[in-house]
Amino acid sequence: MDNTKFLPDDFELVGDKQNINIDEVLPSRPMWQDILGRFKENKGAVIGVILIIIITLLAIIVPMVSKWNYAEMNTSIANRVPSGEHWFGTDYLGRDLWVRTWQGTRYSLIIAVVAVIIDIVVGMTYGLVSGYFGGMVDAIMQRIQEIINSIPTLVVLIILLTVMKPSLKTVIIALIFTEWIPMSRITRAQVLKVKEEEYVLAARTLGAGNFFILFKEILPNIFGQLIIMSMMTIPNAIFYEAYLAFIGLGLTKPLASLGTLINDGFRLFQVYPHAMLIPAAVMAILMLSFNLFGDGLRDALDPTMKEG
Amino acid sequence: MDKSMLKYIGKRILISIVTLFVILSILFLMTRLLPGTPFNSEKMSPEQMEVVKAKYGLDKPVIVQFGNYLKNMVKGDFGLSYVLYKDQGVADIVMPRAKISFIYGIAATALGTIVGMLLGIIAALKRNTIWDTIATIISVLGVSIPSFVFALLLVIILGVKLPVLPTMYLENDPIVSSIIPVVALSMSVIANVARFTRTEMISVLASDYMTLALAKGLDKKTLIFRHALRNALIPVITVIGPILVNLMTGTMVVESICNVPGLGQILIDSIHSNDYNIIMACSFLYAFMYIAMMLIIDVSYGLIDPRIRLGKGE
Amino acid sequence: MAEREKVLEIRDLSISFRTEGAKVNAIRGVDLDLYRGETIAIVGESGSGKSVTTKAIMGILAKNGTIDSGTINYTWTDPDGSKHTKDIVKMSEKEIQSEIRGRKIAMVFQDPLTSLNPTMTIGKQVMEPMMYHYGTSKEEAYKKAVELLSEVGITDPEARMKNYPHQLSGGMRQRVVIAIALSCDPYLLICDEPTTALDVTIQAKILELIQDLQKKKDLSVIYITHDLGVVAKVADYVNVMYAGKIIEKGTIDEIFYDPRHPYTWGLLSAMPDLDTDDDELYTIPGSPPNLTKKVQGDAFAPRNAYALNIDLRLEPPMFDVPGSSSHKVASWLMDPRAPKVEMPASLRNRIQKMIKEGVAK
Repeated sequence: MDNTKFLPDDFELVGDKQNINIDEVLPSRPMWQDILGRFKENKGAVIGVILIIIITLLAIIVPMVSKWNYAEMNTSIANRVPSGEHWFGTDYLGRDLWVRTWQGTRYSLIIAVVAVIIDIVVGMTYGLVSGYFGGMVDAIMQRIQEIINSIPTLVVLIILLTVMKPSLKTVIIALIFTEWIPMSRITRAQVLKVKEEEYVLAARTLGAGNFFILFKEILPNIFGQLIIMSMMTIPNAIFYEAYLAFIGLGLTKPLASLGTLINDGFRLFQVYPHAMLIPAAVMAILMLSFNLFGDGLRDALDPTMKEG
Repeated sequence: MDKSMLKYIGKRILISIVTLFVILSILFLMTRLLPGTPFNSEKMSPEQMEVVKAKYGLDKPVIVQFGNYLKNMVKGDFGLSYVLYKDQGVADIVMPRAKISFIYGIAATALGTIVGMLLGIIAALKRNTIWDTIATIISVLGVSIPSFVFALLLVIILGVKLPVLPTMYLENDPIVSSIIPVVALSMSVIANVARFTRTEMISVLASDYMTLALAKGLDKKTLIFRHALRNALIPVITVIGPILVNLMTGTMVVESICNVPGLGQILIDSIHSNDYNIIMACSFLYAFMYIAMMLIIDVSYGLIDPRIRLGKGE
Repeated sequence: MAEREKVLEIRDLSISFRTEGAKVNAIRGVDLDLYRGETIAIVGESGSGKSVTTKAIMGILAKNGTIDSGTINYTWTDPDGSKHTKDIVKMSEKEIQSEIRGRKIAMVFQDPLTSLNPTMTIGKQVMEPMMYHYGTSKEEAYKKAVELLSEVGITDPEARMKNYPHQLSGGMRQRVVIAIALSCDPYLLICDEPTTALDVTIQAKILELIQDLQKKKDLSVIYITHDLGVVAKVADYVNVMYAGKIIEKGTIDEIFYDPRHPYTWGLLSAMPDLDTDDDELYTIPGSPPNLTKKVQGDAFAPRNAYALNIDLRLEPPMFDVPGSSSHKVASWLMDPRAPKVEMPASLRNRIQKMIKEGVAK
């Protein structure tokens, strides 16, 4: 106190020179910038995105520019280990695995995209309708879903196997049967949560129709969750394709997916493990990247869900 | 256990039976109504075919066949194998294999759950340290790498490169033979359980009742063992169901990679050769095990968590 | 007043938290005194640092919080009559845990619905502290727990011992939390918003219960609250906190009938009462300061209609209010050189009415 220097006007009221009604607002950024910022901070997610981009580019470009053809057989060079000539070696029919692997990745990626579409078309629609209309509709739809869900995936696949020939169509049908349930559950839960919010009630009292409310009010508000969910189905779908290929339900020859490549390599894998390990590694990296990407997206879109 | 719990269990068992019946009917109809018979590969004249069909009762109307099938099934008779093990009783072929698959599944679930819980707890307690990072990496890898890729890697490394474990199933040494397939199957369980446990544990540690327990003046060990663990681990039971689904799908391929005489290999073979009764029996057993496990999980969750067991008071 | 026995003496306590990229100075030089058998209230908006102060007393600051300076001297009398004083800031975590927490200082939390362990019976939770700290046998602990439960007004305590928290109502659960707090016969009870989460009808009952127990067991109590209604009912002394500092302290009568700090004026004006004739309830303008930044001058100045130029520059010291040994105010308005500023007329009327009705005890 004693050594404080006082200024002449110290003890005058500030009065109107300051506006006391201003709330101090912390500097804020647009939401997408926030999301992007959080996403970029997540090293795993960034690595995931980079890997996805690299793999996708390789899958598109390699089969176009390589001097080998994915279906070209030459048994005189069968089962070669990776070399300067054949970067990933050759398979039991002498086909170049570098080309076949990226060709196969193409199909795996196509299947991933199809899975997401199924998720949205079947799963999301089911969840939206069930959650939004509620009551009887919801009760019936939930019972149906429960019964389908209590049939193990494996048995669904067996049923399909007994009925269908192996083809891309079969893989897609298998996905339709099994992949939509988690998505429809999340959608329904989200719809139930959002449906009672003030802004939805406001829209309703203003006379908005069901269609309008669903697409203009509810969907935009739960979209983040749904994107996260559909990102999570991608690794699952890639796995299922490989799995189906392994039990003989995959693509028909000479087409190749990562799953059929793994299946082909399996015959001789104790002697020539490269033919199996390389496509398996590519698949694992692809699934890993999508998982990392999905995790990063979840944390970025909804930081409250982040445990770390 | 009170009345409502018993009622709930009764209802669940009833639904389970209905589901199993639905599965059986679909399978039966699918196999019988489709073109092609188990005997396609055997060159037979139409007359011979009729004789063979009559022998197995395949000449009767489908509905009668189904009735007979159900009647026999209740008695534990799953019919005869048409192709793979000609004319042998399916029950005798399938049951020993089901036992092996079942034991492997249980072992992988148990191993995966225990290791996963440990990892998750360590990660949560040592949050944002190297331990947490290691646990996170393990769980991301475990979720991303399919179980059959793990099985292959283990076979190549432990079975071929440094041959310390058999790559085949050895009759006389079932425990050593089981290491590779069980470990491979448990990887995804470890990953999923670890992830879930970590999240649960972190939210428990941040809960108000942990603050109260801390304010009681308890030491760290008591806090974690008496108050946190139970609350964090009970919910883990709920994720074991979905994990089992993944695991079961995985067994089919992992068994075939590790040459395990379980249901997996014979199921794949029977599908390729249209051996109906084996397909039916295997699918039924898979479905039965799955549904039974789900039931056990749901009921035990109800029994362990007092909030569900005792319902709302007052 | 008889010889007052000091239980707790906090001097110049400063606490900061490390958050992402910033240091939050949550507590900036707090002084606090508490005497045996008396009740003090710490009042303030959320984020003012009232909870952090008590967490520091209990030694349960969050991991990213550190005590930068200050002392928390805690004095107790052992059964043999000898007096001990220890500085909690200097004690090790192990010492605080085994000697202080739950044993000499106990706490009642805000939300009874979440503060009991959902998978442990009420009985176990009440018995746990005494068995842990004093090695009480199970039978004895059971007996004492049943006694405690009936003491906190729980009917049929024997049956309740076997219940789980979810089987009890919110009010019942808060009684259980109080029983747990009292289970080790503490000297000091900290109540962190003990009634905020409860129904209005139960609030008064819980406050009365705490008061009864306080008298019976000669406890010292610290209330943390933002509710001046609670303060008026229970406190002997009031500390008004703003932005990590105590800006006005005094007896309950001094704070309610003769408030000097413009922030206290604001708080009192904002207190709802049944016959407020204004159309609108008064609110304090603006929002609390961002404590990641260094506070320049008086932290309240930007929201203060009575701010002086010096407030923007220098932090005010604690001024004694003339004629009182207990009433202190941190405002430059108390400086003799400051212009004479009166509290708003509407508040004056309100206080007149309160005095007539005797709102404070």
